[in-house]
Amino acid sequence: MSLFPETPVFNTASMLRRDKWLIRLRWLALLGLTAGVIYFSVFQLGDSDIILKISLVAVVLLLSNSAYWAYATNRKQYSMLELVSLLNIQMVVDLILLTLLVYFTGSGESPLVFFYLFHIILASIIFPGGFSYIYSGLVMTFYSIPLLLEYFGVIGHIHFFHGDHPMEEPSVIILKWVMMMITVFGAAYLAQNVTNRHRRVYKRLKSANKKLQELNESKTTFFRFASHEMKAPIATIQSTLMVVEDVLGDKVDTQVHDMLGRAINRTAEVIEMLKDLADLTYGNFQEQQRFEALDLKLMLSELVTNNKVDAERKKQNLSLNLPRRECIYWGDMMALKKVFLNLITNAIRYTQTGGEVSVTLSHHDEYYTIDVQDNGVGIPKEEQVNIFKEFYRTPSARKQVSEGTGLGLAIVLRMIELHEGTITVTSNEGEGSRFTVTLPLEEHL
Amino acid sequence: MAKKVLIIDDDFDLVEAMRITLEAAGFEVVDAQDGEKGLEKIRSESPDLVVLDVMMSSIDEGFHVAYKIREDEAMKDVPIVMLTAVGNQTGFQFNPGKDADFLPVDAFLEKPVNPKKLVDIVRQNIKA
Repeated sequence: MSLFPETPVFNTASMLRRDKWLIRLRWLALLGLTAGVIYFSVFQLGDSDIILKISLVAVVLLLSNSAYWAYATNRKQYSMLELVSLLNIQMVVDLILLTLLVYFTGSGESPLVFFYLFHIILASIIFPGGFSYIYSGLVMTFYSIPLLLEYFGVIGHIHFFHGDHPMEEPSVIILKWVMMMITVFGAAYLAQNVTNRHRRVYKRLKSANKKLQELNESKTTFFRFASHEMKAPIATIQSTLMVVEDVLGDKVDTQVHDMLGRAINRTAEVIEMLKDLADLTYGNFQEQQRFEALDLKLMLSELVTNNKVDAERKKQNLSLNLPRRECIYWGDMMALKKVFLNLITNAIRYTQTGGEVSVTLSHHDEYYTIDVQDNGVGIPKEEQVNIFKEFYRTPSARKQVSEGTGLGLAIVLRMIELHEGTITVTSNEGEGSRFTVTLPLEEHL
Repeated sequence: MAKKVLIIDDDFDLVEAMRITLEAAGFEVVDAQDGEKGLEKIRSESPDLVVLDVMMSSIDEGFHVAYKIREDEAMKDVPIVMLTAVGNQTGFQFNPGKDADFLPVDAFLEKPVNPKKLVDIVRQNIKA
């Protein structure tokens, strides 16, 4: 794992862009500093000795920024660590130079202290989260050093502005006004920069998301048409095989008869799988969805009644528990029937003869839950995460029941997602399974 | 005389499969490959029952053919068995009890066609 992993927002390309941006900003700062030195000299603000020191800071800034610039434009390959180190060195050197400038212009009373804030904002723009707090600590340290050194008399305080009432000097008032203006507009520029960056990233994500959606739609359209196109010929093949079986009847020996029977079963399996594939794409197309107010109690009663025969064949007790109150739900009848039919037939299928299967509907304030519980073979813990995946069938399920496409629960999940509901499974191997479907009630509907 | 069944379906192999089954069961079978030819055949052959595929050149051509049969004074009484697609993937759902109100057909038969079911349904719906 890398210390600075590349992400869409933090990659070497974007870090290099930020480095170059920072270098451009530094040229601007140098321009301002030069203008300041000229201004101080012309209006004779501050000691000439101090102005010389400020000029020296400007020269250091010029040299260092030239070096950064040469480095950034002449190299082709950077590692992330290299770029992060480079930017950090630059930022710390900037802070040292700013601290010197602040000290020369009167420490706590210097109008340049505001510029520390720019470093915080820059650090939060340039580096991944967390760095801005490190820089906040650095800024406070650098701000405190001259103050402490002055307090303990290690260095002397510099009264930058002449005179007893410096504020009465027009040159000082103008200087303060210009400093304030730079601070205000600088802050606005940086804040705008952050916002623009966010908007750009948002726009990129939005268009990427749209592309993914289109891709998904074309995939499901493909599924839908491919399965549809394949179904008709296979249905015809099966019809033909059934006619052959019917016509030949007992005229052929049992071996041929069995072979025909297996061929018919296999075409039936393929048709089942194609139906399931088409079901998986259900609801992706507006015209397919049919939401209506439906009676959950009635729907579940019908499903349980229809499955009684299968349960009785295995001598299982299939029970239904319904609440007293009315349970009307805004949903797609066909989709929900598929969900519960699937869960109930699975429960019957994977529960031994004489077992128990129960379906329980509960009405809560903001949602309905439907539990389909059995005391059958259960699902091993490690396989529970896989059962909703397409074409997945647990090894024990394969062993036990040969039929099944492995798409049933994927379809269930798809149909429940269509209703913005959830499905969870709790199961212990050998003790049975409980599937819980939650269907949210939307008050505004 | 043998009762005559007209099969309107564009799937030749399926038509043949149904023809063999129905002929073995003692019916006379004629066929048409699309709705228009089907309507002509109803006029010229006067079948005793029509097996009509829903999905031919368009997904609902069979519906239109069924309506035309019922609107025509000369053939409105012929029983119609509608062949429906596999698994209703088109979004249409068929429910004989419910849909018979607006679909003027007598019975539905889902593909793949089971020969015994086909013969049963034809026998049930054909008029003596």
